[in-house]
Amino acid sequence: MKKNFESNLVNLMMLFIGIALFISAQSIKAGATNSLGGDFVPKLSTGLWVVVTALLFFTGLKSSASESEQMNMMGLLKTFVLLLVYIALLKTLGFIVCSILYLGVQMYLFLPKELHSKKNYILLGVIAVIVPILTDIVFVNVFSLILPVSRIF
Amino acid sequence: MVLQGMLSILTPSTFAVMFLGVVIGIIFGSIPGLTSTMGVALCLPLTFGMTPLNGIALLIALYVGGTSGGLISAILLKIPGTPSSVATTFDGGPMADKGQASKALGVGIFYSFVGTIISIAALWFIAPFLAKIALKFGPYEYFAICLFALTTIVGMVGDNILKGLSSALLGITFSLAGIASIGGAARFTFGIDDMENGFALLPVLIGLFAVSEILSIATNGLKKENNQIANYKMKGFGFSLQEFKEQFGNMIRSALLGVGIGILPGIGGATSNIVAYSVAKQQSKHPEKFGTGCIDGIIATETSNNASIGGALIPLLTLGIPGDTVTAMILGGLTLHGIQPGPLLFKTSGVLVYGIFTAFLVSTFIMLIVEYGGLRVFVKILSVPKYILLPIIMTFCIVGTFGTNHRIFDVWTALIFGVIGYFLSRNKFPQAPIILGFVLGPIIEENLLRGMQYSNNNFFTFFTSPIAAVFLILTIVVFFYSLTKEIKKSKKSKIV
Repeated sequence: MKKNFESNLVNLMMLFIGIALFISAQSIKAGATNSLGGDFVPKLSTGLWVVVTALLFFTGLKSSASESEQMNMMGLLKTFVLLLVYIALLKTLGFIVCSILYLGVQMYLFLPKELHSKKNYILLGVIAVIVPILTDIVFVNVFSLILPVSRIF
Repeated sequence: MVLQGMLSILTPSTFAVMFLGVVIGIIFGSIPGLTSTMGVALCLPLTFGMTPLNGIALLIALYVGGTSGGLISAILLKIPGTPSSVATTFDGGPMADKGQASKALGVGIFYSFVGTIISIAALWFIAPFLAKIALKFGPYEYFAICLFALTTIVGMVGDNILKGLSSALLGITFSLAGIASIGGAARFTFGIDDMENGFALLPVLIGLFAVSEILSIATNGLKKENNQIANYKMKGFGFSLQEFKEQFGNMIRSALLGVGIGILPGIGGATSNIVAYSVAKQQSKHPEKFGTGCIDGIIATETSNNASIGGALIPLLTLGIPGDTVTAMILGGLTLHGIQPGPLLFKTSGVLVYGIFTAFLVSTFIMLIVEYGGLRVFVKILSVPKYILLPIIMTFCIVGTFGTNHRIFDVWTALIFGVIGYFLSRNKFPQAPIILGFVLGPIIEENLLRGMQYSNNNFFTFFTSPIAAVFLILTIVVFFYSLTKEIKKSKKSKIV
């Protein structure tokens, strides 16, 4: 992807988000106060946000295009979807099962091509199983944290 | 009170958490790509079940270990483990090439220790004095100081002031979500019940620093790591008494620079190591040796970056204003335990304050012993492949975000901020203003609204306070200085 195109797209997204939040800020009520209320700073910050990102977008358009940069969109999407599924299933499957599945798939996705071998798959599989179980034991029993528990198992 | 505070940490459990903190800190500091900020964020939920002192001792130990740990990879791999050790590679790398890796490591570890000790002395003497002055601060002063802090970060970090400003405004705006503390209005909740409490700090930090890193690796991919670890064999610290005497001036100057830069908001060890290196080179009788493997450079960088730790803790403890991302997280740790840092802390919780100071001191000694004695183990950890390490860190992110409030909403928050952080950092939007904007946003808002109430809606009354006036004027100066610097730079680049 052309770096300049991507940069302009991000600047434009920032501008749109700013406009959306600025519109949303207009409906905030001042609340119970006889001076400036809880609506003042949100209106001010989103207003400034719109101005600054608009400037950023227009100055970005004028700057010269830079060289292409490699971006593995598929890799990003795969990891993003994996994280979405991981979080969505946390309450249903619980921390241990979800993390075993996540770790297995994520380590496989990150594994460099030249290291793909049966031996490494077994090693990653073992790590994927041991780490969540140990993490659950340590954090729940030693540090008294509550982690999502499976509704099914 | 001082003695009571010092004695309060003399328990096996406090020593154990400090040891743990230093070890985890060194690991996070030494592995390129992992930072002490990430380490502190991931360990913050662990402090839940601890006493306030143990919790804060753990975070400070992490900060000490994380800042120093960067030197290991800077010397042995020639890749800085953290931004604080960038300049260590300039002379550490060439020394390793000449077969002097053990001397470089010894010097780095020893002067990290010295830098931290000098900064503790500064913290111990400056902080209570500053807290006494800060007791007189009201909303005008707090508003002005926080605004100054934020402007400095925007001006100093990154190479585009508009991007720095956008990051800060994003941080401020997201910090305002939820029910307003003054007036009780619901803001940016979009009908979502969980949004009424706003975004919690920890998921935001974990998202920006850890999840975004996972996404970045997913985009760039990983290659088989062929890092050449330089040979070393530790024997003493590798320098003579004569060399220590010769470097005394360099050490003191670098430490003072580190403390001074640490106090300034947003520019901690990451800046101080480069500034101290440049100054040491300027002042040296043999500047031509810099970059070829001389200990002067390592002493300057490692003394200054660690000296910034104590500097950054001064505004945090005395004013409740964090100077960098790690202290922003330590602030989160303090508030988790119901402790509000600020000048009153010295009056109401003096024992805790001096306990924290002592924990800082003890952690520094632990760092010296552990980093020197356990170097072989840390070097082994350096060779753990990232394709194993990063997914494991992601599961710890889930533990950290869910463990804080037991809400899946917080885990989603981390993912959302991870995506935001990924795209912003990919396009050179600095992350520090987002964090500082997020932390300082509510403080700025509350003090602005309170100040306006006191002044009957006349903002110029803020200038009647000399301290507020000075900081407001400084804010304007810093802003316009950064702006003109930016304009000059863009004109220059157009000519080129």
